[in-house]
Amino acid sequence: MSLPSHLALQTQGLAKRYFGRGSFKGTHYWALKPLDLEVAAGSALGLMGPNGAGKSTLLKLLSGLTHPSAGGYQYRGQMTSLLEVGTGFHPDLSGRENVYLSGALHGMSRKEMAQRMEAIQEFAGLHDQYMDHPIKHYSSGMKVRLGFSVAAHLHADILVVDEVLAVGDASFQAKCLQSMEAQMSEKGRTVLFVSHNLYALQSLCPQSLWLDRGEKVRYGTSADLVTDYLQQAHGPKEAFASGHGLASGSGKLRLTDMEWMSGPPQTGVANTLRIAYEGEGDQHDVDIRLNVHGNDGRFVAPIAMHAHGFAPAVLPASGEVYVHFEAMPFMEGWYTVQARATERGVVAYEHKNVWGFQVASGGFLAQAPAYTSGKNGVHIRQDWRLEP
Amino acid sequence: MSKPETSVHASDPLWRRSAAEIHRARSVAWAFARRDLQLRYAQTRMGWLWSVGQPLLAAAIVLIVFSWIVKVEAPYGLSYPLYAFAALPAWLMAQHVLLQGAPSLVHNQHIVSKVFFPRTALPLSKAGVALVDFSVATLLFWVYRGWTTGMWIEGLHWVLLFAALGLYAALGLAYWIAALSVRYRDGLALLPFLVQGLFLLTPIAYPTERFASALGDHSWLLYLNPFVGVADGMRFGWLGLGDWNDYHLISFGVALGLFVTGTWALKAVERTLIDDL
Repeated sequence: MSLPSHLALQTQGLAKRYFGRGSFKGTHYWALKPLDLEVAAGSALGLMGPNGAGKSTLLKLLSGLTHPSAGGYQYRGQMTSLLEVGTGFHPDLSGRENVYLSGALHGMSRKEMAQRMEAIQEFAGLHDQYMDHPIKHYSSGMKVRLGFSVAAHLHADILVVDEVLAVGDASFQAKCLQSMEAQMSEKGRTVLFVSHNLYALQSLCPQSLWLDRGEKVRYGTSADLVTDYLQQAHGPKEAFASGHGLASGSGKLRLTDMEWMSGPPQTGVANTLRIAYEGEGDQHDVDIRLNVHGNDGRFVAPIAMHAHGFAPAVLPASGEVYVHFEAMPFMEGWYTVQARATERGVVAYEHKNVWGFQVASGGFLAQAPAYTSGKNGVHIRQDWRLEP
Repeated sequence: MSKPETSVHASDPLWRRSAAEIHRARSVAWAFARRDLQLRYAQTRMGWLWSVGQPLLAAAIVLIVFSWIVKVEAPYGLSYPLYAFAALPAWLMAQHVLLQGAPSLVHNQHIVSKVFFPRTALPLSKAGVALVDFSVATLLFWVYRGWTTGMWIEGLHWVLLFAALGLYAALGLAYWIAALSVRYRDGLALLPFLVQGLFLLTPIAYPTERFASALGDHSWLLYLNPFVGVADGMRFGWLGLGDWNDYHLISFGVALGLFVTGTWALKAVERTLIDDL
């Protein structure tokens, strides 16, 4: 069967089955269920899904590391898989020799690598003297930079990339992303990209495939998929815990619901928090204070009504208030919320663990590179300059 | 702009092995061999002097154990060192390929599981260092033979032929053990004993005749161990002992069989290698 000319890669019923061993003998499961996929030449396809979704299995199949149990695939040109940065690097070899070795493993001759050596060195930002040093003397950042630099300069029509951007510092990650974008637009390369960094995935790949438990969930525009994926991937939405007997206070006013209105929050992206309450009679001089705690229980930041100048004299008995965030300050991770509402200075409602929310990674600012330190915290808006 | 199309399907025959794949195996093997050579004597005081030191040490051990302690004597009134050392370089080469090649897939799991290349490349690459060492040891013996007997060019083509026999036999065995090691590490546990057993069961440090006489009429059985053919052939080449023996063909046949089936075995495990390793 021949590959239509506008496609770079096509799979037909591609599937992988594993058989159980030891106490699981006689059982089997499908790590990837029959998948039909078409990737147009020069496009970028993102792969998303939780662990065990079959993303890695698909990449292993495409890179030839394992053979399909059923179905198959065709591709045009040369396909290079990057399942790791700096594959084959040996600590005792010099940077230069490691470039040759890593290149050879990916099917590039010494001569081809020699032609690219200067570009590789420049991209990695390594001085001549370092290139002749054993890489065991490199910092881990230097190793990663060299590894990615090799990867970026391999000859490939189709590039299969697995989570390799998870390493390196933010600026180098941004540089890698730019390089991959450039390769697509200038050299017409096709890219298959797996990342848990949905920000990177979204910015690189217009289209995405969402896999779960070896099956295709959806295929479509990355932006849509990311939103839905975040909503689903982080388990059942943490219920607002108003009904639990843990709440205390006079009960004149009770918080009944909290919700991010623009979907799951993402660092740096605008969102609005809706807070619903109910109670009896006019509510005078209400103050609501939410203490946000990080995943280790440490206090991170307050979301406070009066402190931000919002202090209406009277509110209706039941209603809603909204807190708008121009750029979500919370870094990637899970946060829990303690709530306390006062009416005329009397504690009307208090709850130690009323709600939780997950923040997805993204840039602090819309144009900035993603910040994925994996740390729980907040971004403080700051202005960097050369002059005071 | 028509680039080659590649197609992979579950029903592809196990045998399919393209010319491109063989070329790739060779170039990757060469890259690994280069790495091994560069790293060979990294962080040693004597560096490349070890290439000379190692065969000399091996020779000294053979001399001490077999000549001085066990008092083995060379036939036809030849000096024992000349007789025993003739087969030693080829054996050391085979030993290196076996000890390094057989566990190479397991040792390089971190690479093997991340990038695809024909799996024969790893054990094959071990032939690089082995051949360099073989050349050095052979050069030493060549000087020694020339010095003591005055023969400089005689029989060298036989030496090369039987060295090739030894290399292919060792590669074939290494391929087999490497292929089995993906699933069963037992072969690796047995490896030191296999190498030691082969050394003792191959007439390297003692005359072939001693072994053959123990088998009586069935001395051809001996040549099922291809290294017997190698040891025999080395003495035939270096020292002109004996004749071309039809039994040698048995050794060649076994070596070729091991190499071909070993290549096939590695190819067969390639498909599920990373699932099992």
